[in-house]
Amino acid sequence: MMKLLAQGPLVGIRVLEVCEGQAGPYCGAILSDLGAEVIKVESREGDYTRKLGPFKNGESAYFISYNRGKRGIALDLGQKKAREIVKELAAKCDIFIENLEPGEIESLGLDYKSLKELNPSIVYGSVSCYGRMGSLSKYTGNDIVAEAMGGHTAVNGWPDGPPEPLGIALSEHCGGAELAWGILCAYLHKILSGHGQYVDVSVSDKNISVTENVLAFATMANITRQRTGGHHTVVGPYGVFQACDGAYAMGCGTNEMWGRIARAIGKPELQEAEGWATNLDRGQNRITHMILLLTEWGKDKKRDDIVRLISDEAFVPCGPSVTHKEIQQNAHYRLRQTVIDIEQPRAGKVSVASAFAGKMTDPRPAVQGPAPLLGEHNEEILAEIIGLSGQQIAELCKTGILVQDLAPEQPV
Amino acid sequence: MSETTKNTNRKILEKKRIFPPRGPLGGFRVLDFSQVLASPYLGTMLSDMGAEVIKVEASYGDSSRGYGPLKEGEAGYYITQNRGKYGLCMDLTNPKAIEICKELAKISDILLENWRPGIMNKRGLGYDAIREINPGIIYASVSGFGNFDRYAPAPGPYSPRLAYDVIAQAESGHQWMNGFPDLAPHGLDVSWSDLNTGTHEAVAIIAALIQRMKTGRGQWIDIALTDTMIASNENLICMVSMTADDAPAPCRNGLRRLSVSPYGVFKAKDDYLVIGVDNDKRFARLCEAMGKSELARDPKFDTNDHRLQNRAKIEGIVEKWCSERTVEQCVRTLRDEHAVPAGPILTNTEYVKHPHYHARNMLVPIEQPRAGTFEINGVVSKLSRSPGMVQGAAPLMGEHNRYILKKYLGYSDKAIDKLYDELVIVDNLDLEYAYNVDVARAKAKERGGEQ
Repeated sequence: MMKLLAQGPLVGIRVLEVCEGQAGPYCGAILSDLGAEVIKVESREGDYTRKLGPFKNGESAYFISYNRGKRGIALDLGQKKAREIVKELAAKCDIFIENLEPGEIESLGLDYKSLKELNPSIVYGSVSCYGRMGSLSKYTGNDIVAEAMGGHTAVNGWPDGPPEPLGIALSEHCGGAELAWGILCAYLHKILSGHGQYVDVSVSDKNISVTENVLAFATMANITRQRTGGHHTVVGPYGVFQACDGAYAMGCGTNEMWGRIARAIGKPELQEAEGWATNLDRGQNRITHMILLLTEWGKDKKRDDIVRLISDEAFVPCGPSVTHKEIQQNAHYRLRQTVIDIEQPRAGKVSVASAFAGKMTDPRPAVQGPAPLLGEHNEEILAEIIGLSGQQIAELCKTGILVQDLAPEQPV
Repeated sequence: MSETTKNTNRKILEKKRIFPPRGPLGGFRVLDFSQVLASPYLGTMLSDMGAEVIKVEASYGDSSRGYGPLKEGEAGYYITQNRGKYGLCMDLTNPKAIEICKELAKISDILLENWRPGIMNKRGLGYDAIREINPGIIYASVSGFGNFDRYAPAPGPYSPRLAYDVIAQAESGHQWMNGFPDLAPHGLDVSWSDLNTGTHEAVAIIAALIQRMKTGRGQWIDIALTDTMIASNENLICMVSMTADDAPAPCRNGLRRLSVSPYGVFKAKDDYLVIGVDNDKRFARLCEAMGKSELARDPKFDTNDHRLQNRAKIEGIVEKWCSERTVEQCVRTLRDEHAVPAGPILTNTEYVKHPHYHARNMLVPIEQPRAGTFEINGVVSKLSRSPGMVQGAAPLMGEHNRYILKKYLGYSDKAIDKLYDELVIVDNLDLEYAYNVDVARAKAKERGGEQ
C-alpha cells in the first residue's frame, strides 16, 4: 500500500468526502493538493466514475484524475451500522463535503443537521447543479445542465449553427474550486470564532457568476447575446484559425498589431483597406473577411510555422491549439508540476494534472499520491481515526459492512 | 463637461458602505492592482466575503472601463468585475504614487496583480520589494504561463510569453475539444481561463491565510491561466498517458461529449435542450422516461462503454424521442418526473428572469452613480452563519482617493489637493472617462510610457 505524502498550507486538516462524479471529488482533490488529509467514502458499488473508460488494468482514468491523493474507505451504506461508522468518522473531521443527488445525503442520515449534533464546529459543504435551496433544488443535474441553465451553452458555437456544449466539463471544475473557496472561508471563520457552518454551492450559480459581461448585457441593456464562434466582435483577428495540420489562436487587440499581421501574411495593403482598417471593422466583418482570409492563407501552412511567424515576427500573442498528448509531454508544464506522473497500484505509471493550479512558495502544494482502490484504506482509517481493533474490523468485513476490492486484477 | 457632471449622482457617492463589512473575511485588507478580468474577478470574490478591497488603477484606468455594455459612460464589464471595491487612481509612473502604494501595501494582508510578469518589479512593487516592508503579505500574481523572477515558485520556458485568455484556452487543450470534429475548433463562449484562474487563486489565498495564522509568514502565490485550465481537463491528461504515443488524440465531438453517452445537446420539436446521462442509474431512468425500460438491460447499452460503442444507435433513439416533443415536455418528463439530468438552454435575457436564481439571491440590485440601478451577479458560495454580500457599487476612477488616503495614511485635505495638482492622483468624478484617459495616456507617454 502506498503512503501519501502531504505538504502544503492545509496539512493537519481532515476532510471527509461523500462524493462521486466530478465537482465534489475535484474539490477534494484540490484540498488534498493543498495538504489536507482527504478520506473518500464510497458505497458498495463505488464512485460511478470507476466505471467510466478508458481503463488500464481495470483502473479508470476518470476516477484516478479526480481522486488521486486521497485515502479510500468503502462500506455497504444500505446497512445502518455502516452509516453509523461514517458518522463517527465525520465527528472526527474538520470538513465534510458531499455532492449526491437531492435527498440522498438526508436518507443516509449524513445531512448537516445530523452531523452538527455530533460535531458542532464541522464545516459542511454541498455542491450540486442547482444548490440545496430554491425552486429547482429538488431536481438532479450535472455540468451540462448547469452550463445550459447558466447561459453558456446558448452562446457557445457559431452564429448559424446549433448551441454547443462545452467540450470539457469546465463548470464542474470551476464549481468544485468555488466549493473549496467557500468551505475554506468557513474554515477561516471557524478558526476565528469557533463556529462551524453549512456552505451551499450551486454550479449553475457559479456559471452565471463567470459571465464576463454577458449577464450585464441582459440587466443593463436587455440585449440577448449571440454565438460568435468564440471570436471577438469588437477587435480582431481574435479567435481560433485553421492551419493545414491543426489550429491556432491569435489575440490581436490593436490596429498596430493588425498592421504587423497584414505584413507578415503578405497582405500589407489590407492594413488600411476599407473593411479592415479598424478593430471594429475587423471584429464585425470577421465571418465575411478575416476568417475567410486566414483560412485560405493557412491552408498550406503548418500550425507551428504560423505560430512562430505571428508571435516571433509580428509580435502578436499567438499559440497552438494543442492536443492533450502534447500537454502531457510538454516540458514547461512538467517543470511547473502542473502535469506529473503517479504510480497506481494496478495501472502503474500514469500522468495526472494537479487539481490545485496555484504555485506557492511556502510550503509548496503537490499531488500527494495515487488514487485508492475501492476500500483500499478501510483498516487503517478505522483503526487510526475511530480506534477500532483488528477484531472489530474483521467482524465488519465478515458481515459485509466493509467492502474491499484489492484483487490483483479486475476484469474490464 | 458640465453635462457629464450632472450625470454623476452625488447622493450615491456619499452613501456609506457597511463597515466592517459582513462575511468571513471582514477585517482583511486587499490591495488590488488588477486589470480587466482574472484578478478583478478574484477581487470581487474576496470583497463578496467581506474583505476590504482597494483597487489601484493606473491613471488611464482599467481598460475594461471601455468594454460594453456602456451606460452613461459606465461599463457593464468593469462593474461586473469590480463591484464592492474602493477605487484609487494614480499615475503609477510617478515615484510619489509608488510610495503611496507601498504605504498601503504595508498595512494590507493581500496584494493582487495580473500585469505581465516583470511590470510590477519595474514599478518597484514586485514581491521582492513588498516582502521587505511587509513579510506577512500574501502576494497573488496571475499570468499566462507563470512568473519567472528570483523568488518565483516555478518558472518555466514559456513564462516570459504574453498570453490572453484565448491563447490559454488553446494551449490547455480546451479549444481542441470545443466544436465539431470536421471543422476547426473554436474559442469557448466566455473567457473561462481568466474566470477559472481567478477562482483557483481565491482558493490559494484563503489557504495561505490559514497557513499564515499558524506561521505568521506570508508568501508569493503564482498562478498561470494555462495551469488552471490544464488542471480542469477532466480525465484527458490521464487518458492520453494510458494510450500509445501514436494513438489518435481525443478530439472535439460536436453536440455530444466525447467520453459519456447519451450526453449533450439534443433537438426537440421547437428548440434545443441538454440531456446528461453519465451513469447507469441515470440511464435506467432515461429509458423508463422514454417508455423503453428494456433498453437499460440491453447488452448493447447497459454500461457506458457499451453505449459509447453503440452511441449512434442510442443517441438516435433519444433524438427521435426528443423530436416528437417540445423542450418543455421533454424537460418535464425527464427532469421533473424521472430525475434525469436535463434542462432547457437559457440565454442571458432568460436566466436573469428565472425565479430560481432570484430565490438564491444570485441577482442583486446595484446602484451605480451614473449608470443607475440594475441587477448584477450575487455571491456564489452561500455560507449559513457568516454569509457574504455584494458590498456595493463599482468605483468611478479614483472615487475613493480622498477617503483612503485620509483614513489609512492620515493625509490632510491640503496634502491631497497637492497630489491632485501634481497629477499624482486623478479621478473622473467630474469628467468623462474618455477625456481622462487621453490626458493620462499623454502624461504617461511623456514620462517614458507605461505598459
